Amino acid sequence: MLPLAYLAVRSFERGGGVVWDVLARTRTAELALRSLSLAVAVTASCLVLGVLGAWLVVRSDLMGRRAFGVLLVLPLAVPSYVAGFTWISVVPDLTGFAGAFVVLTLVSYPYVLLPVAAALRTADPAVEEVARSLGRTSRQVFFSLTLRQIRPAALAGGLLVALYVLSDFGAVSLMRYEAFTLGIYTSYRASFDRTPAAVLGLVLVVLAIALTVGERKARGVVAHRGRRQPSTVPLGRARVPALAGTVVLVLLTLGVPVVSLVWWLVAGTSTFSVADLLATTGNTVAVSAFGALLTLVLALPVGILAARHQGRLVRGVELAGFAGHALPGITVGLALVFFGIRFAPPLYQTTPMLAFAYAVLFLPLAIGAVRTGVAHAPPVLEDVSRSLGVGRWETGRRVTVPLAAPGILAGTALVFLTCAKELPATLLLRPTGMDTLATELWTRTEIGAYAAAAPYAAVLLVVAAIPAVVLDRFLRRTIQGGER
Amino acid sequence: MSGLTVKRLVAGYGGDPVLREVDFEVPEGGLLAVLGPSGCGKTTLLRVLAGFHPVSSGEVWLGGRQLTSAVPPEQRGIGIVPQEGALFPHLTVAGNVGFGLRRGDRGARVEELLDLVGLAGFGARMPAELSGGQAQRVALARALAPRPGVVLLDEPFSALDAGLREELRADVRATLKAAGATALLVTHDQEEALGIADHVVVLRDGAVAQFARPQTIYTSPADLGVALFVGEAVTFQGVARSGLVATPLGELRTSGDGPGTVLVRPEQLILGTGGVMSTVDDVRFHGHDATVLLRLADGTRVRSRVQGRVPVRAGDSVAVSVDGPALFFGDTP
Repeated sequence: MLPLAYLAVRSFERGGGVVWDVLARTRTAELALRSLSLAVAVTASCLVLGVLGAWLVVRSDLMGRRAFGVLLVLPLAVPSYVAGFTWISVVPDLTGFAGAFVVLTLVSYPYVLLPVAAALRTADPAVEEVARSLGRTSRQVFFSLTLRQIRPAALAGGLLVALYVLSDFGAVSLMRYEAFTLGIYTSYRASFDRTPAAVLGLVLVVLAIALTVGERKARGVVAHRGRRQPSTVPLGRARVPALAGTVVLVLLTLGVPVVSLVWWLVAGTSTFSVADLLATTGNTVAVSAFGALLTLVLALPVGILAARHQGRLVRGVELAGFAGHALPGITVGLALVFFGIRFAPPLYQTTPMLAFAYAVLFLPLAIGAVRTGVAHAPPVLEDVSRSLGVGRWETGRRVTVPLAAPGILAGTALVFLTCAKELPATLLLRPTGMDTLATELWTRTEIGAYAAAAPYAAVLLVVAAIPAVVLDRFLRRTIQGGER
Repeated sequence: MSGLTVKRLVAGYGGDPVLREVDFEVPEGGLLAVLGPSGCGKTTLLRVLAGFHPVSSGEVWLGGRQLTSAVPPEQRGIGIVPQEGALFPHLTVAGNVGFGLRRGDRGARVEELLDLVGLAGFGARMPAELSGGQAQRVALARALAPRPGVVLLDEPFSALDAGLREELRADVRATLKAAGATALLVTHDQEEALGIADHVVVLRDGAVAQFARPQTIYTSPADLGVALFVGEAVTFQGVARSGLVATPLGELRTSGDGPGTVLVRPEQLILGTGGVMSTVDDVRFHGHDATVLLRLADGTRVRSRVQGRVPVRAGDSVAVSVDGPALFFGDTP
């Protein structure tokens, strides 16, 4: 809630008239329209890519689907600014809407793929089998049943994509697409007057709340969990195109950044210190792990409540979390600087403060994961536990959390790698003298030292990729072990 | 262990009561079956007793202690065995059984209970490796482990196949008796309710239609509805006069007076020892017994339950008589 309070204080400290002036500018409407159209376009393409990818990896007999299962999730580890800069270095003409659209789609479709894949793995295959036995073809089953079963997961993922796009700064600034975040940034830059920027930030929050409410209305009911592994569907003649499409997707999402980084590494002439690189990596892992743990601790009660109860308060808390996600990192960073200096000077520019910023930014990721995980733990088990004399909290610890563990771990891994990629809040709030991979990368690209930046980008990719791989392995094992 | 008493219990959702003034009592160590069709309020009753649903009015007493809505589930000492067991999938069988016990008390008590339900040596298995019947036994052991005041069983045998169901029913009764546990079982299966319980509550539209011993429920049902619900029946409209009523099966002994419904059980219809003549329409063989579908002279169709060898086949003519008195339910004016 802190950043929201900051925005409100900042916006209205000079009266409602100024707020109205800023809102009434045509530029504000233009920015909103640009941000929204980008968000809609990216979300739509991510839904298509994510659902298709998840289905291919989980339910089809695609060649090498296990390897693709990992490869298709890895783009999560590519920061949008790294993707943006590598794409520009390969295709210099790719700017504006098209550029932002391509880059954001390619880095954020895993937000849809991950939950949909999980939903597909746990969906009850009996329902589909009944439909087949009633004379539906597998294609009809996919459109009439499977899509319905995965709708909550797909929409939750779509919401994350939309919020991510609204708050992304890296890609849109590199692609010179005048979206809301860039507008806020130029507004900060142009003057020391922070009111217009704060007002714009508030508009962004309103957009985010509207999206979240819309997703909640459309979410529907989580499908019943099956007891068996779903069978795979033979692709038949679609086999070759499906494989080719998947390979192209992997090449676009991972090939371009990796090849371009390797090129810079090889072509680079500047020397860099391995010790520095190691120290920076250590810092990144430490603050990201701290941030991920803090986020998880905060997300657990909210996620459990959100899955089990539909009260107004719970909805409000969940909404606030999502609203936080739409805030650009730079706004959250500035808000925490503002509060840190005023109310908690000892915490200012410390690791806990940075971890807290991460928690504010990425709470929705973790809440979504906890909620989905908990929805998979049948409430009757909690009733049984209570009737055995085990209290509410103890039941959460011994029953709900272990059952929701795959989802919760997935969420934590996701938050970890998102923290590792985060740039603006890290720049503002990191303890003095401490560098992370993201900040080093940014400092070097700012001065055009692409070759010097490449090693940091490469290590960042690896650090962020490890949880993605581990996470995928873990999810498979627990689901298979638990279903037999 | 202690008895359970329910007094004028009312509970529901919003303003709509699902349970309306329910009264019954389970003595210490007793086994009560709550029998009713789906939607009669059985599940709500269980949830109220276990503390997952608030009481609107009325009282629930367990062993001299009143369980108001303020007593949370974990402080009631009421164990539950849900449908299909609902074992914790992430814990072993031993972990499930020991769930409600203090860490130090687990070992011996878990062994003792697994022994009691006939699953000694299964402690290390995971729930996914158990059959449906085994899972139910573990669920029962888990509920009994903390020595609850009463155990609630929710349709515990509904997911099992017929043979296993009967065997498990006997085992569960034996286990509950051996543990000295007070138990309440809800079911929609009258055979199950009458076969397992010491006492039966017939629940209809959220109210108690009858509360009695199984035998009494069957032989002297409180009304026609209960009579039809607890077993197969042959019914006729008739007028009773001084202990006798005229039916297509002849004049039958009964009690009551005036117009009403006459009811006899299929096993009361005896073939081949006098009485009125009938034609055999069909014979349905069940294994342990058979149902013979008969058509009487006036076209009325009745069914007779025959034990052992079936002396007739379709198309035969056979005499049919009624053994014992018929039930009679006077028309309510």
